[in-house]
Amino acid sequence: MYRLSLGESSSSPREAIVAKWLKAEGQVVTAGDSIVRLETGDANLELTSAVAGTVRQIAIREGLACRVGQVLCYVGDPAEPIPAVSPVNDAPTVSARASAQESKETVQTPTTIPEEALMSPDTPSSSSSPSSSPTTGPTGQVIPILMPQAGQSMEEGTVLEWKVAEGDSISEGQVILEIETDKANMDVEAVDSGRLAKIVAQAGAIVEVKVPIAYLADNDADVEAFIAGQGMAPEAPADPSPSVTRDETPVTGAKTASSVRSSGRVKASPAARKLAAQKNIDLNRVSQGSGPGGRVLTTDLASVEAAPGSSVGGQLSKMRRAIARNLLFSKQTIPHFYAKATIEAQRLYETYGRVKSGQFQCTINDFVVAACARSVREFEPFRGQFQADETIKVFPDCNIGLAVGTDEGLTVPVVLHADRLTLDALAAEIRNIVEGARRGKMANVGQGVFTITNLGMFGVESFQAIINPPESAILAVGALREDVKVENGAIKPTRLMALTLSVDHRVIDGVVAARFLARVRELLEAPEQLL
Amino acid sequence: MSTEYDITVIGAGPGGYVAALKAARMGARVAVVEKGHLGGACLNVGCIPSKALLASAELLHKIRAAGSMGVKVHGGIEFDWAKIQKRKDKVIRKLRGGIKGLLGAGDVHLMTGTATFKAAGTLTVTTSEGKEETIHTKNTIIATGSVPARVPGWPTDPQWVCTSDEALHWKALPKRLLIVGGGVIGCEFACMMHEYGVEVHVVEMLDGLLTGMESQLGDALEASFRQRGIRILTSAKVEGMTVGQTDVTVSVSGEAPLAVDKVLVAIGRRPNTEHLGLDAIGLAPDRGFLRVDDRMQTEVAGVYCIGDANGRCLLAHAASAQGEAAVQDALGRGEAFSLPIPSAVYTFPEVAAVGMTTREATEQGIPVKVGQFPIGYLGKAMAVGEEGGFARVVRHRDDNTLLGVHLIGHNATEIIEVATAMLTMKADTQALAKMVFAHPTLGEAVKEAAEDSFEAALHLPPREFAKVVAAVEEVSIQ
Ligand SMILES: Cc1cc2nc3c(=O)[nH]c(=O)nc-3n(C[C@H](O)[C@H](O)[C@H](O)COP(=O)(O)OP(=O)(O)OC[C@H]3O[C@@H](n4cnc5c(N)ncnc54)[C@H](O)[C@@H]3O)c2cc1C
Repeated sequence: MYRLSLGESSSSPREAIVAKWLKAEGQVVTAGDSIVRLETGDANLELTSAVAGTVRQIAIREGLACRVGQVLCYVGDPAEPIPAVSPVNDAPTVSARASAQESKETVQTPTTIPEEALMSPDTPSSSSSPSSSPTTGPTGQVIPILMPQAGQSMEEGTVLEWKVAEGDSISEGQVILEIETDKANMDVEAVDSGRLAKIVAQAGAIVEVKVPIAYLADNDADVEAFIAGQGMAPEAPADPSPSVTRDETPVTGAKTASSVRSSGRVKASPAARKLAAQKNIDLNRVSQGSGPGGRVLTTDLASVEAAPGSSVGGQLSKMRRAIARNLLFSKQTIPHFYAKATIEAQRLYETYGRVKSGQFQCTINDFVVAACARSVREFEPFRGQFQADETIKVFPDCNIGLAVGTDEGLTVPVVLHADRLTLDALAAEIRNIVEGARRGKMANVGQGVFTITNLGMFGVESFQAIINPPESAILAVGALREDVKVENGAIKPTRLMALTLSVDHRVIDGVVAARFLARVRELLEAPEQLL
Repeated sequence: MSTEYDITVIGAGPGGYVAALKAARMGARVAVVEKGHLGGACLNVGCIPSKALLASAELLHKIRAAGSMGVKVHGGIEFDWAKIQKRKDKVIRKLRGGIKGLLGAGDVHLMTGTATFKAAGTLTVTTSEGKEETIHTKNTIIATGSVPARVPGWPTDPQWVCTSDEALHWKALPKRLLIVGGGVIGCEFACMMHEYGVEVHVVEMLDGLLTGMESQLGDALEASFRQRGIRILTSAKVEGMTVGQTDVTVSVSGEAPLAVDKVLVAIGRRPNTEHLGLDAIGLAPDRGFLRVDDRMQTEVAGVYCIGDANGRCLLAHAASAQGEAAVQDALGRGEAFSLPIPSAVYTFPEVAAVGMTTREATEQGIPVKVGQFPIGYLGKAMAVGEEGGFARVVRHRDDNTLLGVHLIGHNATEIIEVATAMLTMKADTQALAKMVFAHPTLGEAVKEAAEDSFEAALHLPPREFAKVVAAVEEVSIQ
């Protein structure tokens, strides 16, 4: 699990206001995605994420202030438990800080700023009261050594024998103890060098995986302080049932010699390991994990194929489960209203051909997106969303989603401000996000107001699509096909394309839907307007 | 002879003397007891003397910049410290006389001496010669103010370590001065002393100046100070000091020992409630402060406490406003006092604010939207050569209520009144954005900031968002 915050830099403000979340809880973040907008009054910032994962919890609501270093949101694997923080006032204190790169905990004992003994809390003037100075306790580094997890099924291990004693200095790679698991006895190597300050699990002790068995530190006092600091939140979960809750501790203080031999050392989040096991994916085949230090996350597995002979059958992937839930929710709660129009697409076809051969790379679908974007701008109800409190919230931006089928399932990356892009820019952007989506990178997911789904390339003539909540409309685009049309009593060969609109009838009236569709038709039948 | 008063006020600072005048105006029999000079800390060792010294410093600052305005000053720029002090003293004397005149005209019985409680409704007044007098009163208003806090263990000889009380009346200026505390008083002294040629170091334990205010104000002031050559050490702590033959050596966390001529301790104020005999009426202060309700009444009926002594807001105008509220309640016409109180810092540039900070709103879970406008964009600012600073408006994100206005810049302490007016009237932020301001004025920044909070400031480019990578920390969640 990662906590994301506004970093400290000379140019960054000390405090900013969370203006807008660009990702909602539960949404997938890919490295490089924008996640939140912060306002300071002069320099406004859009924070991007350097890590991939799912937004598990937003710690600061829109409209509230955050300080440098204060956690804004947690990003992690969907299987990890949600941190127990109060959403508003997560104090930016340092208690147990893990350095992500090295995958080990660097712990600082908490320091407190003394209450200003003499000043009234209401006074606007601050004071410094050197007499009541912060109690500077030991602040050295403490690295816990954890019971390693050797294999998916291992839940606990027994310490058989320590090969080193308290006070010894140990070095990386050195075998420091022997453990017994349900399967075998194995040697455990140190991952870090340092002074073994304290052994907390003596020979014979049975310890759950990923629970500290010893600590590295220069100073014994630091260890005491560290352990004391953990008092409220013990390393060992209170409920020792083999649930996922224990799996997320991203800290691996030790590795087993055996695991090194068998697999090399692939850093992966526990959830990723679980998913990999389910899908029979060899973690070694993931070239580069997107977590810090190359740690493999579940999102990295999307593009990796299962080993031959695997059966994916049984359990649905997270993504498929989410899709299933979403579709069911949509069909069950949104009163869908459908309207279909078949447009004459001869000119569209010709314009497309001309542009593509002489101007820029584009597809028929790009024209459809452009026509829809413009119509969405013109028809406010198409930017509205039905709220739980039975009001309709209208969004200003014409962000258009595109349904993209991937092997993992359906995803809807979004083009922001599609109405403001020229057709060539729009085409490039669409290419970009669609390719991204096929590679598992989801652009601006969840920010759309309208979705377009196109099965024309498969020869589907027309179909009705299910609205992608919380949006209120989706357009299903059929194949552009050669056909005949009766015009003034005469049969004329031409090209036709069927457009089927589904709208949330609570938000969009039938007449409005019809007008919208007419407008889209008007634009597509005279596509020069879109250039 | 013993009269019974309706109200007796202890202390004649801005809280006490205003309360006494108000009580007299409302027809009460009123006495005010003062052990020192009329006007309290504000007039004698606070607001007024500091503003007088700052005014001379600011003029000096302006004259030094005269060249940029096309004005030539021949023969060098000098100042006469003794004369600056004299002018300040004259202002103080004049105002003291004014208060005395007002109290006399208002038929307030002024007693000189120290008041202590003997019992509820009975006070003893002891004069400096040791004469005692007992007075009986239906209501008592404690307006005894505060004194500068000192740090236990530090030298107390004012030749080396002083507080604002002494520093305002220095006969000679130190060459090197270390100011402990970057709050209002510390900043005002840093600003003026620097202008008078003193080498100034400010040590603040928290992470910025003026930390109780909107953080951007302190940041901007800090930048302005640093640029002028005032040394600011934030998140730093004075760990100790030793007095030598000719100077004081101060050790500051993370810094080489620093030799200075004087140390000014500006870490806050301590309420003046120790020797009042509060035991006699069963009142126990909380860290020295006498906690009161919104009508300024203490836990003992008929005993009120206003101003610095109750710790609600350590500002002169707060003391006065509370004084009036207490009197009204004592005379049976009270209501809860809840008006917004502006705060003002008289550095140059000036800093002023009223209402909530974004931080306070966040602590109360109120979602906000801010608008900000740089003063330098205004025609008036350029014309008068005062381009620093900005106005910042904080409003409720959803219902537009005006929550706070925060200013830094020339004349900010005057401009803030417009915001206070709107806030007092509980205006909607749209009203502030719509209000017509005279042009060209610096106050226009407030209007523009209000507009900007709706992303509608006409003189600002549309907002842009610079992309920054978020800091990432891996955590384990139990
Ligand atoms: C350097 C400095 C600058 C400041 N600048 C500003 C500013 O610009 N603006 C602002 O709003 N505020 C400013 N302040 C704060 C302001 O001075 C105080 O908030 C204000 O004086 C408080 O008023 P008061 O009536 O509560 O108490 P005080 O002004 O402290 O008055 C209390 C009076 O009570 C008397 N007294 C105490 N005990 C007894 C007793 N037992 N019997 C009889 N008399 C007694 C004291 O002698 C004193 O005269 C400044 C303060 C300082 C130190």
